Amino acid sequence: MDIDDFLDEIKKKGLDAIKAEFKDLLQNAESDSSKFIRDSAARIKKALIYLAEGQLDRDDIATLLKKEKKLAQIEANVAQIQARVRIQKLIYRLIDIALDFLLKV
Amino acid sequence: MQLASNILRIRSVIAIALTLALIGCGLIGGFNARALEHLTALKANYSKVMDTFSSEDRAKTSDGYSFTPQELSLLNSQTDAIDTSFRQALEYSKSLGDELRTKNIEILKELTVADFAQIKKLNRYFNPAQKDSYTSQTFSGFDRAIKGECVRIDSTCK
Repeated sequence: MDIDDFLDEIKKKGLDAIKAEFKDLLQNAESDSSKFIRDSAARIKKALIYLAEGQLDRDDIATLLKKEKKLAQIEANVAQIQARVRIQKLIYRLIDIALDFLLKV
Repeated sequence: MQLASNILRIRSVIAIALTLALIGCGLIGGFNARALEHLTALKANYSKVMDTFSSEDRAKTSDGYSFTPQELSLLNSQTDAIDTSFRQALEYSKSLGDELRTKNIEILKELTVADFAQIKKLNRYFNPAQKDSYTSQTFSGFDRAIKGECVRIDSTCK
């Protein structure tokens, strides 16, 4: 669910239900095996504390949440780069061995 | 016997060449020092703008503080300079033909634009909480994009 869907949901559901769902999601994210998800949850939590303290406003929170979504895209791109590099290194090694073998036959 | 062996070798080389051609479709570009330089310079320049336009004293809305024309002019000139640097980095990245590298730079540009737009909209300095929240995200984006460059083959960074 992206931020727009989330905001639409707030209109449909009761605010308390949304709060409980959000809290549950945040708690799960804080203990996720992915470092990116844990860091993201920590940033969101910190921003919400700043909001409660009046140091950030709702506009800040909306912007920050949208930015988190973009960060997830970078994370996905980097994961794709890492996976392709691993495969590439493996294939290069296989080709080196094959060529070496052919030249020696 | 010799002829059969040569034919086998030629067929094997053709098979490897075809495999290479197929792999080529999904190949990722190798490490590029200039692309890394672009990322680190952009991060440093972004950091400088955020340092310049964050202040505990001049961020208080209760004081009714707003940017002077000189401050606004400085902000615009600094963000324009970063915009130009992003355009250069993007053009260079496109010339390398690696879509994932280019996508990351595009997203980083969006992240920095969002931060600068927020400062301009407020028309005053970011307070420490704003600086912390906005920059920690954008720095994280830069760090991950730099990691995306450093994991490539023949990389000279970690």
